[in-house]
Amino acid sequence: MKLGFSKRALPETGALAVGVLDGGTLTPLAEELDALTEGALTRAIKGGLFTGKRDQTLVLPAPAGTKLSHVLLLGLGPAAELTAVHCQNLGGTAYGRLAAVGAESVAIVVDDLAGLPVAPAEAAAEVAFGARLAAYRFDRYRTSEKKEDKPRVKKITILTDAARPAKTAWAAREALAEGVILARDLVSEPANILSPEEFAKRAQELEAVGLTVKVLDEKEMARLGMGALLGVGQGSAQDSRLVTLEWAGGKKKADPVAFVGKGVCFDSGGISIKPAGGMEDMKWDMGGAAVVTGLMKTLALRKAKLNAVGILGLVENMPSGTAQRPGDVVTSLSGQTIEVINTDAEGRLVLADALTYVQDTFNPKAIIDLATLTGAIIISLGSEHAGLFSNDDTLAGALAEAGLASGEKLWRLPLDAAYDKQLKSEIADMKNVGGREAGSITAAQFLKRFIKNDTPWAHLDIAGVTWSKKDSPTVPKGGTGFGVRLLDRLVSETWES
Amino acid sequence: MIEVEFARRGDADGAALILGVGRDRKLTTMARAFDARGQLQRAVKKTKAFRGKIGQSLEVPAPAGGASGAGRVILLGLGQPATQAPTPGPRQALALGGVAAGALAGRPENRVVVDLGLDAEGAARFALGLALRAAGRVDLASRPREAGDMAPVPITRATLLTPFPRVAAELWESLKEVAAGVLLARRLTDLPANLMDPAAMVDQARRLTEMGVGLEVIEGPAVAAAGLGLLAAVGQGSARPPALAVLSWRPRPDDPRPPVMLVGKGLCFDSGGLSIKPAGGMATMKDDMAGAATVLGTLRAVAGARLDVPVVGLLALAENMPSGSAFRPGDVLTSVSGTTVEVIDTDAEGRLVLADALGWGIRTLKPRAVIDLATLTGSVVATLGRHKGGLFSRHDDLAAALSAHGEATAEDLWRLPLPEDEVEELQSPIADIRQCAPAGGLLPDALHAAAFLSRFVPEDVPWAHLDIAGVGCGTDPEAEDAPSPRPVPWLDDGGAPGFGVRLLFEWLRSGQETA
Repeated sequence: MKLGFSKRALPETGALAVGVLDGGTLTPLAEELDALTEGALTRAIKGGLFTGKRDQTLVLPAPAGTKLSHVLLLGLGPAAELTAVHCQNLGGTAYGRLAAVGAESVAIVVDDLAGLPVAPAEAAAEVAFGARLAAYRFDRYRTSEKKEDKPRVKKITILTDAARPAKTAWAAREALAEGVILARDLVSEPANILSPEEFAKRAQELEAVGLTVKVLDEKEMARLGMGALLGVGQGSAQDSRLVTLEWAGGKKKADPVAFVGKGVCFDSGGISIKPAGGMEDMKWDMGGAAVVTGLMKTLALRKAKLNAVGILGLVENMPSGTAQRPGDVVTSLSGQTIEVINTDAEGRLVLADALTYVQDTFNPKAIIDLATLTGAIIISLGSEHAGLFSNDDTLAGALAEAGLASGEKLWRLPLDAAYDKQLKSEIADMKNVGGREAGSITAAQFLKRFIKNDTPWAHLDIAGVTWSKKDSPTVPKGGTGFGVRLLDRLVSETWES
Repeated sequence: MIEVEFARRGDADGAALILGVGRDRKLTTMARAFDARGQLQRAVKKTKAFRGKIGQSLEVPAPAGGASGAGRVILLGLGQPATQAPTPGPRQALALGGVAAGALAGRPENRVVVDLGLDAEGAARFALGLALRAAGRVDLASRPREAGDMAPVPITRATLLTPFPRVAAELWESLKEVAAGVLLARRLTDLPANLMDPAAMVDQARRLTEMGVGLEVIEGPAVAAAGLGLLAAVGQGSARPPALAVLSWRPRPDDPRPPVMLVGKGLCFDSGGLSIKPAGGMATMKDDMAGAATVLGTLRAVAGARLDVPVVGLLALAENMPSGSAFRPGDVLTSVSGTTVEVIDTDAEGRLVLADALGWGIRTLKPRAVIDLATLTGSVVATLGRHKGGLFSRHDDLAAALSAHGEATAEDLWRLPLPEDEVEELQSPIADIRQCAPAGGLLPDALHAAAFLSRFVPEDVPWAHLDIAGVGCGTDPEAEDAPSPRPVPWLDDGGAPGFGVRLLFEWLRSGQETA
């Protein structure tokens, strides 16, 4: 599928999306089209269902007076309220509605509207970005799907007077889209395909875009003393891996920012096995690692001006004759001992060693970890926000802001010594679970015990936002890639300016 | 409640004497004055485990030869160096009072003298902690308890030494009303459902009329007749009918200000109804009226302290029982505001009674701010455990003010997101809204409940919803997981904490509700 920007003019053929402002006011190109079709647009709006409210749509098939296959009226709401995220959503909605009617060529008009708070070139690039993300489809295993059942869009064109600057603005968003798409691909892959070893291999392919990738196997991890991570993987016939992806875009000796991802390629729960219903969802228990991988690709593609390191803790959690047992005590890389009460609270064990490793090896100036960590976060926040925990108000504030600006929203939850007490163990330094109450907070408290010297650290619990059960404008059902947009934004706002 | 006096000097003869030890394990100046022979300092020195932290105490049963004549000395960790004049914040002072009272449980003395060098505010807050912890939980055992966890604190009189006794006494004048309010809320919550049903709660409300509190009660058949269809439905399965009790405090009849409205969920017992709860742990459901108890307790405190602010308190009282006349999943109910509600789960009943109370109160009383309190969802316990209550509000100023008072009074709140858009899971094919999402998967029920309630509160009314399911109940000794301690565990005796009275009182007194 091709995506491009062209001068704003009515196309002759194909499908066309034009904007309509709140109250049914036509945008300039829509007016032209209205004249050409002898008032077809005005008549359609008079019909009453469509008022130009944001994200409302109305499809006019084959309007008389043109050779266009479809005209899509796209509600913009008031121009002054259109944010970048709204522009993305409009692009996604336009793509979705026109792909659904079988369009092959989709043109979306971005007029320079009075009062628009986003620069026209930026608005055009955002619309393109939204359309690109909406066009994502993971169909590599649908071998018998009929051609007519697949989307036929071959070309997306954004029509704007700012075509040239829009193309420039698009470059960074294209890099971002690539990262989101990689994250979605990794999340969508089934666990029989995407083992820790295969995941590491795909990470290594990113050397092509300029990342330095290192892979530790089980022997090397054992030598280092990563007892917590290895304990989780020991029940699986698949070997565990720890992957580091380095991007050196900043000053030579500058400490990097670290991103750490939980990569449990399949989480059966281990001996504390999960109920059968819904267990297939556990193929995406590596969502944190997928986001870190996607983000590192984006940073490399757009040549971000900072040093960054991504760490993936890759394991499979399986019940077997060699599996870890409830009651086992493991020694983590940090030296702290952990009593494993529940083998299904394994993500924090993997992260514990990955967090220690990144601090020992890279001395990062800030650490952000991402993990599909707890069911409790879904009971707490649903799928509208990911959970944010941090030992640093500045970092937490920057993350929350980046969340709002990127449309990947976070909600901060507390850390507090009172919750930490729930982790007390009679036999080791800590238990790996703190009871049913405040499950997401106690998980975060557990991770906090592996952060040294008060390094600014944030933990994002993304269990509720990594997989979507319904389509939204820029996120089709399935793997969302939630976190790539957010962290790319955080990087550019916090460490590149 | 214990009797408290403040003085510069006091006679500790035969009393228990409370003295302070710093984080450096040194006695304070005050303590040293009672330690001519160095016995107290030696006791600290030999007791390595005693580190002078807040929460720690060391008992010296019979101090030899001290000038005090005290029967017993309790050394309290102050959590700061002994040389500094102790300036605990309100939260720490409250905690110290709780620790002191806890250390006196099961001891013979009925009088205590406290010499920690506290300033007036510190002394008054200390007294509050002491009074709350000393009061003990409801105990209906027919024979007195012997020593152990349930041993009562026999203290009836406390003398607090401070350089500013007059100011401290003035502060205590209102704080002792807070103590009375908290203790009332605790007692009502702890009493079992056979003794504290909707009618008994109304009787308790009626007692406040002696203090000048107005009372209007809609009860029995009048509930349905008044259009309170949700409250009527929740109560219809029980032989003990529902009621809406409306308490009003307006110390100056000519005060033109509209009232602040407090609304409490008062499910005197919640069996779950037809969507009945599992048997394990059901006994704690006698606490499901903690919100209403807090509202009643707050009104008691406000009236006792004669706060110059008009307040109304609504108690939405019902008992949720399965029976031949119970409401059913699938029923469609009409609320007092006209909104129709599809019932999905009869055990999500709290939001129903609150919706009617909110709708009725806002329409009838036109309040300028509204706070509701409810032991509403298990979901909030999964989120915040027992350390913090969930706070939902559209109004940032109100949320910030409540959080700040919660921090100061050791009644911690944490803000959670109130869904802005219509929640898809609550869309009903047959009514205006579903009461909750159909079961299946992991659901953010606390958010859904808050979103449901928001349908009954116009956007321009400053409103906050406090989900106190984790912080408002007593701890269940039979719970599978060991109950986690509260943020100020020393105030906790395992009974219901009366959560919210302290924080609401301070918020009302601050005048921030007008902001």
